[in-house]
Amino acid sequence: MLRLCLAPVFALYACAATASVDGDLPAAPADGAILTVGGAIGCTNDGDEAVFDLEGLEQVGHSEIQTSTIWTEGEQVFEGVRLDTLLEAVCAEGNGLRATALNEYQVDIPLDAMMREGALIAYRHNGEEMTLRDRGPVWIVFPWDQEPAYQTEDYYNRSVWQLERLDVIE
Amino acid sequence: MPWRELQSINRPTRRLPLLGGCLGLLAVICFALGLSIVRKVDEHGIAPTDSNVFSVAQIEVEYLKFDRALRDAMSGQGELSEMRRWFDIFYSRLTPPETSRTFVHYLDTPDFMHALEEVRTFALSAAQIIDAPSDELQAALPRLLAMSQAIEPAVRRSALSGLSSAYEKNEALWSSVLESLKFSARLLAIGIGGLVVLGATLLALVRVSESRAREIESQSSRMRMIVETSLDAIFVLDSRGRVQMINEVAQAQFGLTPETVEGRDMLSVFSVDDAARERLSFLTEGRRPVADERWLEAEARINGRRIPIEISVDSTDTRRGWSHVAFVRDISQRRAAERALRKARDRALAGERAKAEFLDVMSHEMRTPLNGVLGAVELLRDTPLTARQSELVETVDRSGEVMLSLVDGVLDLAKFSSGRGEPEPQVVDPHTLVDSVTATLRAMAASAGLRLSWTRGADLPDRIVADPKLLRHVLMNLVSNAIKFTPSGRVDIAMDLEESDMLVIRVSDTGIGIAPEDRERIFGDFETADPSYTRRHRGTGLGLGIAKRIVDLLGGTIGVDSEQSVGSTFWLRVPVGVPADQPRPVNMDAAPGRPLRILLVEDNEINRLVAGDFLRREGHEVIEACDGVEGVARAESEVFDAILMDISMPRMDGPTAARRIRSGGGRSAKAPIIGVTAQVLPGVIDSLRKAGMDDCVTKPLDPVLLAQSLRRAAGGDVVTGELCRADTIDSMQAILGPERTVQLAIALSDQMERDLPRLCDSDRPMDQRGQLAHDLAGAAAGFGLTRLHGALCEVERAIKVDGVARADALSALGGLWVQSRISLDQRVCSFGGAGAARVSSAVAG
Repeated sequence: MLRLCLAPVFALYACAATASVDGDLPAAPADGAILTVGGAIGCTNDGDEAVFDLEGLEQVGHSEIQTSTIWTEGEQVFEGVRLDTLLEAVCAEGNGLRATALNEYQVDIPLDAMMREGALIAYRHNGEEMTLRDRGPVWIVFPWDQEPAYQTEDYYNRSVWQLERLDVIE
Repeated sequence: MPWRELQSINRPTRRLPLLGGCLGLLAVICFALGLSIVRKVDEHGIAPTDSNVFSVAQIEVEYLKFDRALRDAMSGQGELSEMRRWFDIFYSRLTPPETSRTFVHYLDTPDFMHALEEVRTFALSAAQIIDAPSDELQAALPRLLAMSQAIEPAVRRSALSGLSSAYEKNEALWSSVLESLKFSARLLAIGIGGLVVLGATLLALVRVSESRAREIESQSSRMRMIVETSLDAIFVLDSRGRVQMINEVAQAQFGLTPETVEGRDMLSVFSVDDAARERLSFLTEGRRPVADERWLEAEARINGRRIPIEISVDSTDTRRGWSHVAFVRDISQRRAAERALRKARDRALAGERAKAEFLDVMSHEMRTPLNGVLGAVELLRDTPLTARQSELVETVDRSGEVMLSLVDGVLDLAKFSSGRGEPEPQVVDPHTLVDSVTATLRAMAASAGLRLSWTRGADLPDRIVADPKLLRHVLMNLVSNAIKFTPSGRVDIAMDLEESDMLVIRVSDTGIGIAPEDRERIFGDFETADPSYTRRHRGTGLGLGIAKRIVDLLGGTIGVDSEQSVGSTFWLRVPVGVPADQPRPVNMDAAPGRPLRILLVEDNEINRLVAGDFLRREGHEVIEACDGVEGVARAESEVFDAILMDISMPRMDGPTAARRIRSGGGRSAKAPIIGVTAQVLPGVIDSLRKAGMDDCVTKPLDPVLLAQSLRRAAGGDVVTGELCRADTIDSMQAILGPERTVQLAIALSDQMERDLPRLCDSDRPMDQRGQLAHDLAGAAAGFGLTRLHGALCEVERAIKVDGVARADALSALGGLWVQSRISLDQRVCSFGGAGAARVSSAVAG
């Protein structure tokens, strides 16, 4: 049933999906890294981690979500890479994800179906890059408007802003 | 009683829907509560959540991190970019409530909002400094630090107030949720309690229904036993009259089996006709049969045979409709018996009738030639006959008479035994009855040398209700028997009323008597005590048999007491009616008036007979005239002491006849005429007087009044009245009793004897004598001494008005008193005559 409900979500993604290249990560940037993925991953570009800047993430994937959030007013447009795309790109081998934010906030997220299919690692907000004050540069967002199932405490907690790194854990 | 148990079932049963309703209500309430809890929990979704609280707390944390970074930058230990970064992070935390819902829960916490506003104001001003190029920023660092230090309390405040508000709100929410939970828990407890009660009720129900089932089982087995041991065929029917069950007897008697009849309509099993179906219509109408619908006889056709059956049904209303039970009996045997009985009875009745008719016809047939024979014999007697021929004629006559009486007797027998002789009761005078019998048989008795007399008891009324013909018949029979069987001596008839409604007649004779063994037998038909007497006395032997039959018909008894060679007393007791208005039996032994020669003019034969009888009994000689014309003729040619004249007669009525007699100047022209009328109007009496009648009596004739009238007529001048009026004395005796009457009479006598001399004493003053006359006149009147009274009144008048007292009038008083006294004496039954002598001597002297 959940899958049925997520159908419109898929449709939304489908319009803006870009095929990702399995195991073919962009090169680690010299500077301007905005996201680091570590932990139990198979594919890396910088030692045992995968480091991305904006272009790198854009290369990995590009999707769009249009939704309102509890921290903003009105409908927002988020562009980013889908979590499952990113995980595939880094050949994630775990069932959990540890998200760490720039303010040292940390949360563990189980990688269930809803998580994998709904989470968007957003790097643009209304077409603009996000400043720190804007909760950027990377913000995990969900299709709250499309899927009321994400309008829970859990997912608000998982909607980490100022995301710094993702570690794939067991 | 099973019914009481049923009632106790009903109570739990009635509780059930109630309980169910309550539980339903509870369920609804619980559901509603549950919904509200869920909603509240949902509300919690927008209540201050942990992340909101985290955000509030993080304001201070991120402020402190910024502050440290700022100090590090100032002391050269940290980079400006680091400080910038922490400021941005701190800044991003401070989104105004208008844009983000993060702080929406704290809008009603003024402390927090003010603090936040202060902090935001600081952040905005600080942002300007931080956004400046690095060298400007570096120079501005101390100023920034000062600002930061200044804002620290506000930051702290915001965190604390925010936290405490969040705490309170959550507390409130949770305690309301808790309350709801507690409430619903309580309701649930009640619900469970209700369920427990329900369970208990159901258990009770189950138990009761079990015992009920047992009860029903035992009842039904009892019922089965009754049904099976019954001797009648029993059909149990449902509400439509269809057979549900039949018992063994039904099967055996009618050759039915349960399979063939179950479910079938009983009436069609027996193939009854529509009339019977009609009677049993209640079966299909579904109601209880009324009394006369419960039983009927019908013709049934079953298994090819026709059987008369008797059905008795009753019904009862069970909860599932009417249930009927029919008992069916084969009554063919009974019918056959009834038929046989009826036939036998009819035959017997027919036999009786045939016998009676035969006797009747034969008697009539025999009578005719008999009459011929007897008539011829009579004629023969008138012709010249030799001695021998006379003898033979007598023989023929005697035999003929015997035969005739036999035939008559047989006729009577037939009449009375076939029940054709119905008594016709009427008002009759028993004296008349006996008189007629004695009159008829007097000659017979005389020729037998017997004395015939009759007496009456004191209680015998003058009027009874009985059939005179039948009574006369019996009496004639008994008396003639007595005469026949009494060689010498007397025959007495005694008549009385016993027990206020039993007429008792005793006929005693001094005859040969009847042997004890014959006393019953003689009342049988054709029985005589001694057959030889039958030949000697012309008897048929039927008399007593007929007498008994008549007495039976009248509802009485007859019998005989007898002593051989001494005599017999035949008695009969017959219930009679006694008319209510019975005049007091007149003591007939009271001295009658002198015997008179009376002309009785009456057109009605019966009335004539009755009046004539009465008058003759009084000792008078009665000449009868049938109407006015004859009456006038007789009165003209003969002398009569009194004439009794009926008023309404054909040809010439009473008044006219009276006028004719008076004006005719015949030999009885001056005789007193007493009119007998049915009307009592005063005018009538006047008109009769004018016609010349002296007195009148009313119909029906009252013997007492008639006798009085006659006495008045006979006792001389009607105008002057009589010496002593009987009715006055009679009423005195009736009211006061004989003894007192005697006492009063003695008192009167004393008064008279004392005062009459005084009255005659010319030395006394006139007014005194007048008063004496007055008093004596009154006293005399009180005793009905009318003539004395009249005389005394005249003397009183003479004294008071004329002022004289004539000697001859006075001396007449003495004699008159003596006569009156004698008369009074007779009436009252005597007291001494000494007083009279004294009075006479006083007057004479």
